[in-house]
Amino acid sequence: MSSRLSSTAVLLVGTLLLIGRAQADCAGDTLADKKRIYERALASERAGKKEDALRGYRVAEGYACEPNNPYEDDAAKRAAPLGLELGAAAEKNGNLRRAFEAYEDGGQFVLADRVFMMLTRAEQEQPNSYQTALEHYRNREGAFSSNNAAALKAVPGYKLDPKYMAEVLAMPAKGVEHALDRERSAWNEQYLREYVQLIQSRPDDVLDTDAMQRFGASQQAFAQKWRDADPLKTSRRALDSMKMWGMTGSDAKHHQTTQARFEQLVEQRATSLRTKFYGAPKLLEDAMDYYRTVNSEQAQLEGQLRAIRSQALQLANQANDKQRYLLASEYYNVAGESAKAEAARARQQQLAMQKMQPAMDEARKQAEELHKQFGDPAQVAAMRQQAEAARKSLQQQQQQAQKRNKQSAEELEKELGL
Amino acid sequence: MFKRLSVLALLCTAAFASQSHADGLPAPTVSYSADRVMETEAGTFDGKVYFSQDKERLEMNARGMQSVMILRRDQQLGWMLMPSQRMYQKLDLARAQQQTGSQSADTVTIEQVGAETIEGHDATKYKMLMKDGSGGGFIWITQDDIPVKMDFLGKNGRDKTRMTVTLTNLTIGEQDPTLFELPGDYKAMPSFPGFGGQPSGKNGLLGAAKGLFSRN
Repeated sequence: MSSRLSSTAVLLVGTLLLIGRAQADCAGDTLADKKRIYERALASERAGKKEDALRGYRVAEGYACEPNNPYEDDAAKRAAPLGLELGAAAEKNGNLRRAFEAYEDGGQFVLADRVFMMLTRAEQEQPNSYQTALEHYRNREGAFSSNNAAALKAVPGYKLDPKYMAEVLAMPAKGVEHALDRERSAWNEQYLREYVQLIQSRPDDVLDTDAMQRFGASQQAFAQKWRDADPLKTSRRALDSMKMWGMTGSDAKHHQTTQARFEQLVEQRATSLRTKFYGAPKLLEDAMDYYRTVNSEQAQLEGQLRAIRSQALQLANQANDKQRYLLASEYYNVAGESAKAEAARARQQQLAMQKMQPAMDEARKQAEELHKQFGDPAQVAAMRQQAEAARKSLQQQQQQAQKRNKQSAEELEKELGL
Repeated sequence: MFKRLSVLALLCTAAFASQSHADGLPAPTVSYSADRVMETEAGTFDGKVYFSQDKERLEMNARGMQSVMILRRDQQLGWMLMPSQRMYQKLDLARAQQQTGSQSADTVTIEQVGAETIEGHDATKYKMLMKDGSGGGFIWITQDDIPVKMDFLGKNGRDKTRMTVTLTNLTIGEQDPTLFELPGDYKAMPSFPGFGGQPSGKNGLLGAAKGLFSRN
């Protein structure tokens, strides 16, 4: 008997010890913490600090290390009207993020879900908004009821509206369509035609001021007409977004079809640039950037880039033969031939210098003559005397003319009767 | 100085208003060329004038500095040429007129006062007076409506200036159309902010007048 008793006592002590250790290991608040937080929240509410009070009540009603938190019901009851008031005020001010937090802290889950959906819609261009929304609405199921029992008692009748989850699940497909719309708006063949025309009309002779002025005016008109400075970059960003939306969600068919559409569109864009708009070196560079967005097999990508570089090299040689060195240097850069690009630029500078040479020779000659003249002090003194005499004579003439003019003006004034 | 010059500029505008202007003087009915002598308080300047309907070319020589102004009223524009630099500046006549001379007929009275012979040409003499008393003058117009002489006075308080323009060696006849065109080898003066190619309101006209009448 005594042996049984002692065994029971050992077990009891052991259990108590284990419980004590479990409580010591608990990462959450103890009941003493909850009490302190709740009382501080009450004081905040009394002092009119509603935001602080709401946050305090929310913490006070949360998980405690010990079972049966005696403060959670009161905290939830007090949080409910505060959450409603502060959430509505924030929503009215357009601060949806704050409205959501206030509704959520106040246990106003119906309102919090509604505002969360509004936030999600506002960020619907971002594929990660889908994952956030999915997690939010999924967390409303399962342990949600037990974890928020006090709040659900204070504001009864909460049930997740299935329309929100349906809307979230439809986001990937919609995201793809929106991205496609953005891409289609950015891709404009009229813009590309005019861009090629502008680049081809760029004068090679920078000393031809008329041509440079005409080109400057065309450039200005082009920039005014096409506000997006780089619509192809916008197009690629939209394609990236489309690709991301394609990888979002759990629908394997959606993944496959979007990837296929994405790759097809990239190929179309790159091919158009290579076959129709190769007249501007930058557009060949853009074609390469389109291929880079696919991120497909390295060997395939290398093949595509090599083909464009080869095309650029051919165009560079043609431009070089026509003495269009600026254009040639840009094509060489696309082709990855930086030494040839540098040589073309040097050739252009050389031509410009040749054109300027007669003017430079003339200026040098004049400078030498001036130097010769002013190198002789006697001649400089004589010239200074001549200049001074001329200035005095001119001044006298002007003074006499002014005097005569004044006299004759007075005569005319009398004649006119003014 | 500027005030007096602006009065003279206004008188010039009124004097050469088009025929359609009810109160203006008539415009020449023939093409002609002449030597032009301008006497101002800054001195005497020689030049040439060439006229064809709605087109005029004024060549000026101010102490070795040559400048040419081509006025194309048919196109409501003009060009100020600088032959030594082979450069030009475009002038917007419509804008300049709108901003400076649109009220000239309302501010000037014109009266026929007699007939005289000027440089061998019979001419009608007109008296012009600014209604505000700030200036006035006489203008002599031939039977072909050519202003063969102008004698103007500008006043600003006690300051007065007189300007006389006389045409000599007047020759009536067709003029070479290229005289009124912008030479092909001239380049536009680069325009910088604040130094636009267009005259800017009153300052533009005053600036032009200053260049014409004075070196100050």
